Amino acid sequence: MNPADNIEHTIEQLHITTRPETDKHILDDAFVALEKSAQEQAPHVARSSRPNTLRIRIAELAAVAAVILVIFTLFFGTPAAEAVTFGEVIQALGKVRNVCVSSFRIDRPEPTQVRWSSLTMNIKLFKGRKEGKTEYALWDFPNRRTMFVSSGLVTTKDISADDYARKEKILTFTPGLIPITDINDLPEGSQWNKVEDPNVSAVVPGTEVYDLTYPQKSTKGTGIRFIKWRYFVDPFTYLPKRLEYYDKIKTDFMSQEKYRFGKYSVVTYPSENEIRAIIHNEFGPAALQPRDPGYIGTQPN
Amino acid sequence: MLEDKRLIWELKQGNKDALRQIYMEYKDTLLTIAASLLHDTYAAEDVLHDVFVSFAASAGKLELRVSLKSYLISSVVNRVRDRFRKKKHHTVELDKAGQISSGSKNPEQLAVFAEQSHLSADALLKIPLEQREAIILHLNGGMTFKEIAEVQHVPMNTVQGRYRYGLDKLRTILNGEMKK
Repeated sequence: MNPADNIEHTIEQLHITTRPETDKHILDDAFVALEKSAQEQAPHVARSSRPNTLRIRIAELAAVAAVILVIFTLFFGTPAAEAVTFGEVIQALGKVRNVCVSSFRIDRPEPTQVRWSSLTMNIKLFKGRKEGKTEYALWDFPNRRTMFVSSGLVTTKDISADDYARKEKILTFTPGLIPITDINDLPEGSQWNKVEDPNVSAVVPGTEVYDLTYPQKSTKGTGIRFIKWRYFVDPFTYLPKRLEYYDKIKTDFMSQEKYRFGKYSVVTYPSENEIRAIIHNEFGPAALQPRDPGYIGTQPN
Repeated sequence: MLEDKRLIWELKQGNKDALRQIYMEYKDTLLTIAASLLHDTYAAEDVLHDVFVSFAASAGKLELRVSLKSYLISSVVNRVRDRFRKKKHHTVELDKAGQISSGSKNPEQLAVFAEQSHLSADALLKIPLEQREAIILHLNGGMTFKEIAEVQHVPMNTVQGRYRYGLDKLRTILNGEMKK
């Protein structure tokens, strides 16, 4: 094959690895440089143990609109000074570029669906099972196509203009991780409370657990359904690692009636390379490649 | 991005594991970019060394306004430009060090890949550096045109133009090579 025919693919495939002796040499020198840098910075660090984190948080909080602050005050007053707020979770999720959500039903050990979203690659990948077979679907926005693989057979379809707009809108947020796309959309009476039970937080070690509860009109009539999203949050990054979904009908938050636990999700934050490897493994090396040599793609902004 | 911030924060505390983690995550991408721009793996390893030692030395003062990956790629690009400016760069063929990998290919595919890579790498050296940067950073670095525009300090349209013209030139060069 003439390399000019697929020059982008050939260049993209080029991968050079470092030699072990190079790694050792570079890391040894870098560690020495890091030690020197740490010694020079030591007095500054001693004065403030979390300077950078503090600056990040101040900058992030400053950017939140006044109306959101009012909502925080009304609905998300946190019992402990160090507690993570729901706003911080939303903000943290807003900065995530790559995410994988595995959805489970409590009566099944295997996930019902696994979804990967990548804003850096502008793709969405789904894994599910149908009639005992594992299937994958890929929404490849830069190439405006969808790919589907089942039993090793790959089929490809163009995304129409209408479908593109609809699918792209879905890509811009992480469905299944927050019940709303705008904090202002939370119903009146919503609550965000820390769960202090150590048995609950032991489900995902190292996390803090919070319950987001809110009322929702029943779809069948005038009844009220109470929804609870239980967040297992990394206290450092504010990102959820696990979510549990509960509901109860025709009662109030404080009633003795128990919430029903139906589904849960396990959330991970893979690198772009990890997602790319899955796609290449399932769809073959041609996946994600530009569809024609002159096509330069649509990149996320 | 948040993982970047966490790693940088740990790095500022002098955490060697954070530095090792960053190095292991980005080393091959950075080496591939440097080698593709310089057409020389030995010089590319020097660039990688300089970038990481300098990165570690300035860890205490580091303030990231872009992603860690973009920051490190920009550092590589700047060092490569310095080398071309100082003309201390002599090209050594990319496959001399035997470090080019190509995923899971059978021997026949590998031979074809090696030949194509060799021709492409030779051709890359014949196009202007700014066009080569746009192509390499987009295809090997996985950077968006917007991110490349920030590295090159030009509008995004200019980067897209450089990418397109660069590819056109590469095709012309490679078609010429094949006719010989």
